Amino acid sequence: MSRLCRTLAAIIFAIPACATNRAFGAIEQSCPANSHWVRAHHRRAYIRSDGTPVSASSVSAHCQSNPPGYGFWEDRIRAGFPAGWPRTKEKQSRWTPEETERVLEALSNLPDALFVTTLQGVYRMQRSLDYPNPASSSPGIIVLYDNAFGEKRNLSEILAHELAHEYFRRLGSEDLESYRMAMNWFSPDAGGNGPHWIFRGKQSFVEEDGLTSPVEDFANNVECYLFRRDVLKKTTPNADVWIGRHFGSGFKLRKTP
Amino acid sequence: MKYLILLISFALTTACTSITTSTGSKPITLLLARQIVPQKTSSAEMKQLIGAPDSVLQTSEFDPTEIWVYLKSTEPATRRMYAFVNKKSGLVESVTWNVFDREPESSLDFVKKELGNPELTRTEPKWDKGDSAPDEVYFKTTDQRLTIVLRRTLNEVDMVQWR
Repeated sequence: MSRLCRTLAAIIFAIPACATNRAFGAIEQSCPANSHWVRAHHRRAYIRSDGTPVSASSVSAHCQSNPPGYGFWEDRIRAGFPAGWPRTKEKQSRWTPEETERVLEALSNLPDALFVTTLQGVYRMQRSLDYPNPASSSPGIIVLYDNAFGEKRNLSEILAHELAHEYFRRLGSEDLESYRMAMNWFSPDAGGNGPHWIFRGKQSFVEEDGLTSPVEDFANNVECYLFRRDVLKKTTPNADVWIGRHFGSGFKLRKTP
Repeated sequence: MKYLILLISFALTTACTSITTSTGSKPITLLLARQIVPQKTSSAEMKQLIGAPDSVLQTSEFDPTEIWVYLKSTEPATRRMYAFVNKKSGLVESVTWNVFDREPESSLDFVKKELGNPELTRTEPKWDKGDSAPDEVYFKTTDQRLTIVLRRTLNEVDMVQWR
Protein backbone atom coordinates (compact mmCIF):
# COMPACT_ATOMS: atom_id res chain seq x y z
CA MET A 1 0.00 0.00 0.00
CA SER A 2 2.68 2.42 1.00
CA ARG A 3 4.55 1.55 -2.20
CA LEU A 4 1.44 2.39 -4.24
CA CYS A 5 1.08 5.67 -2.38
CA ARG A 6 4.69 6.56 -3.06
CA THR A 7 4.25 5.80 -6.76
CA LEU A 8 1.09 7.89 -6.98
CA ALA A 9 2.76 10.71 -5.11
CA ALA A 10 5.74 10.57 -7.45
CA ILE A 11 3.44 10.83 -10.48
CA ILE A 12 1.46 13.69 -9.01
CA PHE A 13 4.62 15.54 -8.08
CA ALA A 14 6.16 14.96 -11.50
CA ILE A 15 3.23 16.32 -13.54
CA PRO A 16 3.62 20.02 -12.73
CA ALA A 17 7.37 19.88 -13.36
CA CYS A 18 6.86 18.32 -16.80
CA ALA A 19 4.01 20.61 -17.67
CA THR A 20 5.72 23.85 -16.85
CA ASN A 21 9.41 22.96 -17.20
CA ARG A 22 9.90 24.96 -14.05
CA ALA A 23 12.24 23.98 -11.28
CA PHE A 24 9.56 24.38 -8.65
CA GLY A 25 8.15 20.93 -9.28
CA ALA A 26 6.56 20.06 -5.98
CA ILE A 27 2.96 20.80 -5.18
CA GLU A 28 3.08 24.08 -3.33
CA GLN A 29 1.15 24.95 -0.23
CA SER A 30 -0.84 28.11 -0.52
CA CYS A 31 1.04 31.05 0.84
CA PRO A 32 0.03 34.65 1.43
CA ALA A 33 0.52 37.14 -1.36
CA ASN A 34 4.12 37.99 -2.20
CA SER A 35 5.48 34.82 -0.70
CA HIS A 36 6.19 31.33 -1.96
CA TRP A 37 6.34 27.85 -0.50
CA VAL A 38 9.70 26.36 0.42
CA ARG A 39 9.97 22.67 1.21
CA ALA A 40 11.95 21.47 4.21
CA HIS A 41 15.60 20.98 3.31
CA HIS A 42 19.11 20.94 4.61
CA ARG A 43 20.97 24.11 3.74
CA ARG A 44 24.70 23.87 3.30
CA ALA A 45 27.00 26.63 4.45
CA TYR A 46 27.49 29.35 1.87
CA ILE A 47 28.60 32.93 1.34
CA ARG A 48 26.13 35.74 0.75
CA SER A 49 26.70 38.29 -1.99
CA ASP A 50 28.05 40.77 0.54
CA GLY A 51 30.59 38.21 1.70
CA THR A 52 28.75 37.22 4.89
CA PRO A 53 29.24 33.52 5.66
CA VAL A 54 26.03 31.62 6.41
CA SER A 55 26.34 28.42 8.41
CA ALA A 56 24.68 25.13 7.54
CA SER A 57 21.27 24.45 9.04
CA SER A 58 18.04 22.52 8.67
CA VAL A 59 15.31 24.64 7.12
CA SER A 60 11.68 23.80 7.97
CA ALA A 61 8.99 24.02 5.33
CA HIS A 62 7.67 27.55 5.29
CA CYS A 63 6.26 30.43 3.27
CA GLN A 64 9.14 32.63 2.22
CA SER A 65 8.69 36.29 1.34
CA ASN A 66 9.42 36.80 -2.33
CA PRO A 67 12.78 38.47 -2.74
CA PRO A 68 13.25 41.39 -5.16
CA GLY A 69 13.12 40.15 -8.74
CA TYR A 70 11.08 37.04 -7.87
CA GLY A 71 8.43 37.88 -10.44
CA PHE A 72 11.07 37.98 -13.15
CA TRP A 73 12.88 34.83 -12.11
CA GLU A 74 10.20 32.40 -10.91
CA ASP A 75 9.52 31.13 -14.43
CA ARG A 76 13.13 31.36 -15.51
CA ILE A 77 14.64 28.91 -13.05
CA ARG A 78 14.07 25.90 -15.22
CA ALA A 79 14.35 22.16 -15.07
CA GLY A 80 15.61 19.85 -17.80
CA PHE A 81 18.22 20.14 -20.54
CA PRO A 82 18.07 23.54 -22.22
CA ALA A 83 16.94 23.37 -25.84
CA GLY A 84 19.75 24.41 -28.12
CA TRP A 85 22.49 24.15 -25.49
CA PRO A 86 25.65 23.65 -27.55
CA ARG A 87 27.48 21.44 -25.08
CA THR A 88 25.41 18.34 -25.60
CA LYS A 89 27.79 16.12 -23.62
CA GLU A 90 27.02 17.91 -20.39
CA LYS A 91 24.45 16.29 -18.15
CA GLN A 92 21.47 17.93 -16.55
CA SER A 93 20.86 17.88 -12.85
CA ARG A 94 17.84 18.44 -10.62
CA TRP A 95 17.30 21.61 -8.69
CA THR A 96 16.97 21.14 -4.96
CA PRO A 97 14.84 23.47 -2.82
CA GLU A 98 18.06 24.69 -1.23
CA GLU A 99 19.53 25.62 -4.61
CA THR A 100 16.48 27.45 -5.94
CA GLU A 101 16.32 29.51 -2.77
CA ARG A 102 20.04 30.24 -2.98
CA VAL A 103 19.68 31.36 -6.60
CA LEU A 104 16.66 33.55 -5.83
CA GLU A 105 18.53 35.16 -2.98
CA ALA A 106 21.65 35.67 -5.08
CA LEU A 107 19.67 37.24 -7.92
CA SER A 108 17.78 39.49 -5.55
CA ASN A 109 21.00 41.33 -4.79
CA LEU A 110 21.74 42.17 -8.40
CA PRO A 111 20.63 45.36 -10.16
CA ASP A 112 17.58 45.13 -12.42
CA ALA A 113 19.62 46.34 -15.38
CA LEU A 114 21.12 42.85 -15.65
CA PHE A 115 17.70 41.20 -15.85
CA VAL A 116 17.68 40.93 -19.61
CA THR A 117 14.27 39.88 -20.87
CA THR A 118 15.76 37.76 -23.63
CA LEU A 119 17.06 35.36 -21.00
CA GLN A 120 14.89 32.28 -21.27
CA GLY A 121 16.14 30.34 -18.32
CA VAL A 122 18.69 29.41 -15.72
CA TYR A 123 19.31 25.66 -15.86
CA ARG A 124 21.03 23.19 -13.60
CA MET A 125 23.72 20.88 -14.95
CA GLN A 126 26.24 18.59 -13.28
CA ARG A 127 29.74 19.44 -14.41
CA SER A 128 31.15 21.83 -16.99
CA LEU A 129 33.25 20.56 -19.87
CA ASP A 130 35.52 23.37 -18.67
CA TYR A 131 35.59 22.17 -15.10
CA PRO A 132 35.94 23.89 -12.63
CA ASN A 133 33.85 26.55 -14.38
CA PRO A 134 30.86 27.12 -12.08
CA ALA A 135 28.60 28.44 -14.86
CA SER A 136 28.33 28.97 -18.62
CA SER A 137 26.02 30.73 -21.01
CA SER A 138 24.83 30.85 -24.58
CA PRO A 139 22.21 33.22 -25.99
CA GLY A 140 19.19 33.15 -23.70
CA ILE A 141 20.55 30.39 -21.49
CA ILE A 142 22.54 30.30 -18.27
CA VAL A 143 23.71 27.01 -16.82
CA LEU A 144 24.82 26.54 -13.24
CA TYR A 145 27.00 23.53 -12.42
CA ASP A 146 27.43 21.63 -9.17
CA ASN A 147 30.40 23.65 -8.05
CA ALA A 148 28.51 26.95 -8.33
CA PHE A 149 27.02 25.91 -5.01
CA GLY A 150 30.32 25.24 -3.28
CA GLU A 151 30.82 26.67 0.18
CA LYS A 152 33.39 29.24 -0.95
CA ARG A 153 31.52 30.40 -4.04
CA ASN A 154 29.64 33.68 -4.19
CA LEU A 155 26.62 32.79 -6.30
CA SER A 156 25.69 36.43 -6.88
CA GLU A 157 29.07 37.06 -8.48
CA ILE A 158 28.73 34.00 -10.68
CA LEU A 159 25.26 35.05 -11.84
CA ALA A 160 26.31 38.67 -12.38
CA HIS A 161 29.09 37.44 -14.66
CA GLU A 162 26.79 35.22 -16.72
CA LEU A 163 24.07 37.88 -16.93
CA ALA A 164 26.71 40.31 -18.17
CA HIS A 165 27.42 37.90 -21.04
CA GLU A 166 23.76 37.93 -22.02
CA TYR A 167 23.68 41.71 -21.69
CA PHE A 168 26.76 42.06 -23.91
CA ARG A 169 25.23 39.92 -26.64
CA ARG A 170 22.32 42.38 -26.75
CA LEU A 171 24.36 45.58 -26.66
CA GLY A 172 23.53 47.98 -29.46
CA SER A 173 26.32 48.38 -31.98
CA GLU A 174 27.30 51.87 -30.83
CA ASP A 175 27.57 50.79 -27.22
CA LEU A 176 29.44 47.67 -28.24
CA GLU A 177 31.96 49.62 -30.27
CA SER A 178 32.33 52.37 -27.68
CA TYR A 179 33.18 49.69 -25.11
CA ARG A 180 35.73 48.12 -27.42
CA MET A 181 37.25 51.49 -28.16
CA ALA A 182 37.37 52.58 -24.54
CA MET A 183 39.06 49.30 -23.64
CA ASN A 184 41.50 49.49 -26.56
CA TRP A 185 40.34 46.31 -28.25
CA PHE A 186 41.39 45.91 -31.87
CA SER A 187 40.67 43.18 -34.36
CA PRO A 188 43.34 43.41 -37.03
CA ASP A 189 43.40 40.08 -38.77
CA ALA A 190 40.81 38.55 -40.99
CA GLY A 191 42.87 35.42 -41.63
CA GLY A 192 42.80 31.97 -40.11
CA ASN A 193 39.69 30.81 -38.33
CA GLY A 194 38.36 34.30 -37.89
CA PRO A 195 39.28 37.67 -36.53
CA HIS A 196 41.27 37.56 -33.36
CA TRP A 197 41.35 40.32 -30.84
CA ILE A 198 44.42 42.10 -29.62
CA PHE A 199 44.42 44.00 -26.47
CA ARG A 200 46.01 46.48 -24.21
CA GLY A 201 48.62 45.46 -21.63
CA LYS A 202 47.98 42.29 -19.65
CA GLN A 203 48.33 44.22 -16.43
CA SER A 204 45.08 46.06 -17.14
CA PHE A 205 42.81 43.01 -16.85
CA VAL A 206 41.09 42.10 -13.60
CA GLU A 207 41.02 38.42 -14.64
CA GLU A 208 43.42 36.70 -17.00
CA ASP A 209 40.69 35.10 -19.09
CA GLY A 210 39.52 38.60 -20.00
CA LEU A 211 42.35 38.63 -22.52
CA THR A 212 40.49 36.16 -24.71
CA SER A 213 37.80 38.53 -26.01
CA PRO A 214 35.84 41.72 -25.35
CA VAL A 215 32.84 39.66 -24.17
CA GLU A 216 34.82 37.91 -21.45
CA ASP A 217 36.51 41.18 -20.53
CA PHE A 218 33.11 42.86 -20.23
CA ALA A 219 31.66 40.15 -17.97
CA ASN A 220 34.71 40.26 -15.71
CA ASN A 221 34.56 44.03 -15.49
CA VAL A 222 30.83 44.16 -14.71
CA GLU A 223 31.29 41.53 -12.01
CA CYS A 224 34.23 43.46 -10.59
CA TYR A 225 32.34 46.76 -10.75
CA LEU A 226 29.61 45.31 -8.56
CA PHE A 227 31.71 43.33 -6.12
CA ARG A 228 35.25 44.75 -6.06
CA ARG A 229 34.97 48.20 -7.48
CA ASP A 230 38.17 49.40 -5.84
CA VAL A 231 40.07 46.71 -7.75
CA LEU A 232 38.43 47.69 -11.05
CA LYS A 233 39.14 51.39 -10.50
CA LYS A 234 42.78 50.61 -9.91
CA THR A 235 43.27 47.96 -12.58
CA THR A 236 40.98 49.08 -15.40
CA PRO A 237 39.82 52.64 -14.72
CA ASN A 238 38.41 52.97 -18.23
CA ALA A 239 36.05 50.07 -17.59
CA ASP A 240 34.92 51.61 -14.32
CA VAL A 241 34.10 54.89 -16.08
CA TRP A 242 32.40 53.20 -19.03
CA ILE A 243 30.22 50.93 -16.88
CA GLY A 244 29.29 53.79 -14.55
CA ARG A 245 28.33 55.98 -17.47
CA HIS A 246 26.46 53.25 -19.35
CA PHE A 247 24.40 51.83 -16.49
CA GLY A 248 24.03 54.96 -14.39
CA SER A 249 24.28 55.57 -10.69
CA GLY A 250 21.66 52.96 -9.76
CA PHE A 251 23.87 50.14 -10.95
CA LYS A 252 24.89 48.58 -7.69
CA LEU A 253 24.08 45.66 -5.45
CA ARG A 254 20.91 45.77 -3.43
CA LYS A 255 21.59 45.70 0.26
CA THR A 256 20.84 42.39 1.97
CA PRO A 257 17.91 42.83 4.35
CA MET B 1 34.99 63.53 -27.06
CA LYS B 2 35.14 62.22 -23.50
CA TYR B 3 35.70 58.72 -24.80
CA LEU B 4 38.48 59.98 -27.03
CA ILE B 5 40.14 61.60 -24.04
CA LEU B 6 39.72 58.33 -22.16
CA LEU B 7 41.27 56.39 -25.00
CA ILE B 8 44.18 58.75 -25.19
CA SER B 9 44.75 58.82 -21.45
CA PHE B 10 44.56 55.05 -21.25
CA ALA B 11 46.91 54.55 -24.14
CA LEU B 12 49.41 56.85 -22.49
CA THR B 13 49.42 54.69 -19.40
CA THR B 14 50.51 51.69 -21.47
CA ALA B 15 54.24 51.23 -21.64
CA CYS B 16 56.03 52.47 -24.77
CA THR B 17 52.87 53.91 -26.26
CA SER B 18 52.65 57.12 -28.16
CA ILE B 19 49.68 58.68 -29.82
CA THR B 20 49.08 61.53 -32.19
CA THR B 21 45.72 63.06 -32.90
CA SER B 22 44.19 65.31 -35.49
CA THR B 23 41.02 67.34 -35.54
CA GLY B 24 38.54 64.78 -36.77
CA SER B 25 37.94 62.73 -39.86
CA LYS B 26 35.54 63.43 -42.65
CA PRO B 27 32.68 61.02 -43.33
CA ILE B 28 33.94 57.90 -45.07
CA THR B 29 31.87 55.26 -46.81
CA LEU B 30 32.60 51.56 -46.95
CA LEU B 31 32.99 51.66 -50.70
CA LEU B 32 35.51 54.48 -50.42
CA ALA B 33 37.43 52.62 -47.71
CA ARG B 34 37.43 49.49 -49.86
CA GLN B 35 39.72 51.30 -52.24
CA ILE B 36 42.42 50.74 -49.63
CA VAL B 37 44.20 47.60 -50.77
CA PRO B 38 46.32 46.01 -48.05
CA GLN B 39 49.93 45.32 -49.04
CA LYS B 40 49.56 47.79 -51.92
CA THR B 41 48.14 51.02 -50.52
CA SER B 42 50.60 53.11 -48.53
CA SER B 43 49.69 55.13 -45.50
CA ALA B 44 50.30 58.31 -47.52
CA GLU B 45 47.86 57.13 -50.19
CA MET B 46 45.32 56.21 -47.52
CA LYS B 47 45.64 59.69 -46.08
CA GLN B 48 45.07 61.17 -49.52
CA LEU B 49 42.02 58.96 -50.05
CA ILE B 50 40.16 59.30 -46.76
CA GLY B 51 41.99 62.02 -44.89
CA ALA B 52 44.19 62.13 -41.85
CA PRO B 53 43.37 59.75 -39.01
CA ASP B 54 41.98 61.03 -35.73
CA SER B 55 44.74 59.22 -33.91
CA VAL B 56 47.71 57.01 -34.56
CA LEU B 57 48.60 54.44 -31.94
CA GLN B 58 52.10 53.16 -31.66
CA THR B 59 52.85 50.64 -29.00
CA SER B 60 55.70 48.29 -28.39
CA GLU B 61 53.20 45.43 -28.35
CA PHE B 62 52.25 45.97 -31.98
CA ASP B 63 55.70 46.98 -33.24
CA PRO B 64 56.53 47.46 -36.13
CA THR B 65 52.85 48.18 -36.75
CA GLU B 66 50.94 51.32 -35.94
CA ILE B 67 47.18 51.71 -35.89
CA TRP B 68 45.47 54.53 -37.75
CA VAL B 69 42.14 55.24 -36.11
CA TYR B 70 39.27 57.08 -37.84
CA LEU B 71 36.40 58.01 -35.56
CA LYS B 72 32.78 58.00 -36.59
CA SER B 73 32.08 61.68 -37.16
CA THR B 74 28.57 61.54 -35.72
CA GLU B 75 29.55 59.39 -32.73
CA PRO B 76 33.12 60.13 -31.75
CA ALA B 77 33.06 57.59 -28.93
CA THR B 78 33.25 54.95 -31.64
CA ARG B 79 35.67 54.09 -34.42
CA ARG B 80 34.43 54.25 -37.97
CA MET B 81 37.41 52.19 -39.04
CA TYR B 82 41.00 51.47 -38.21
CA ALA B 83 43.92 50.30 -40.27
CA PHE B 84 47.09 48.50 -39.31
CA VAL B 85 50.07 50.04 -41.04
CA ASN B 86 53.53 48.51 -41.23
CA LYS B 87 55.93 51.27 -40.26
CA LYS B 88 58.86 49.75 -42.12
CA SER B 89 57.16 49.23 -45.46
CA GLY B 90 54.69 52.06 -45.04
CA LEU B 91 51.95 49.78 -46.39
CA VAL B 92 48.52 49.12 -44.96
CA GLU B 93 48.25 45.57 -43.60
CA SER B 94 44.57 45.30 -42.77
CA VAL B 95 41.45 47.41 -42.46
CA THR B 96 38.56 46.93 -40.02
CA TRP B 97 35.30 48.69 -40.83
CA ASN B 98 32.78 48.87 -38.00
CA VAL B 99 29.12 48.59 -38.89
CA PHE B 100 26.35 50.21 -36.85
CA ASP B 101 22.81 49.03 -36.48
CA ARG B 102 20.99 51.80 -38.31
CA GLU B 103 23.24 51.49 -41.33
CA PRO B 104 22.14 49.43 -44.34
CA GLU B 105 25.42 47.48 -44.08
CA SER B 106 24.11 45.91 -40.86
CA SER B 107 22.11 43.61 -43.16
CA LEU B 108 24.23 40.73 -44.37
CA ASP B 109 22.45 40.60 -47.71
CA PHE B 110 22.96 44.31 -48.26
CA VAL B 111 26.65 44.30 -47.46
CA LYS B 112 27.27 41.22 -49.59
CA LYS B 113 25.60 42.93 -52.52
CA GLU B 114 27.50 46.15 -51.87
CA LEU B 115 30.77 44.22 -51.94
CA GLY B 116 29.90 42.67 -55.28
CA ASN B 117 28.40 39.38 -54.10
CA PRO B 118 31.69 37.56 -53.49
CA GLU B 119 31.57 33.84 -52.84
CA LEU B 120 31.66 33.47 -49.08
CA THR B 121 32.12 30.54 -46.75
CA ARG B 122 30.31 30.57 -43.44
CA THR B 123 32.41 29.64 -40.41
CA GLU B 124 31.22 29.31 -36.85
CA PRO B 125 33.99 29.43 -34.29
CA LYS B 126 34.24 26.51 -31.91
CA TRP B 127 33.37 27.07 -28.31
CA ASP B 128 36.70 25.89 -26.98
CA LYS B 129 37.43 28.44 -24.31
CA GLY B 130 35.63 30.72 -21.91
CA ASP B 131 32.26 30.33 -20.27
CA SER B 132 30.28 32.04 -23.00
CA ALA B 133 29.38 30.51 -26.35
CA PRO B 134 30.80 32.54 -29.26
CA ASP B 135 28.24 34.85 -30.77
CA GLU B 136 30.09 35.62 -34.00
CA VAL B 137 29.69 34.00 -37.38
CA TYR B 138 32.30 34.66 -40.05
CA PHE B 139 31.73 34.87 -43.77
CA LYS B 140 35.00 34.66 -45.65
CA THR B 141 36.14 34.74 -49.21
CA THR B 142 38.07 31.70 -50.44
CA ASP B 143 41.40 33.52 -50.18
CA GLN B 144 40.40 34.62 -46.65
CA ARG B 145 41.27 38.19 -47.45
CA LEU B 146 37.77 39.50 -46.76
CA THR B 147 35.69 38.69 -43.70
CA ILE B 148 32.22 39.80 -42.73
CA VAL B 149 31.54 39.32 -39.02
CA LEU B 150 27.90 38.74 -38.08
CA ARG B 151 26.51 38.92 -34.55
CA ARG B 152 24.37 35.83 -34.42
CA THR B 153 22.06 36.90 -31.60
CA LEU B 154 21.03 40.13 -33.25
CA ASN B 155 21.56 38.91 -36.81
CA GLU B 156 23.48 42.09 -37.57
CA VAL B 157 26.79 42.65 -39.29
CA ASP B 158 29.37 43.83 -36.77
CA MET B 159 32.46 44.38 -38.90
CA VAL B 160 33.89 44.07 -42.36
CA GLN B 161 37.60 43.32 -42.44
CA TRP B 162 40.03 42.92 -45.25
CA ARG B 163 43.73 42.31 -45.51
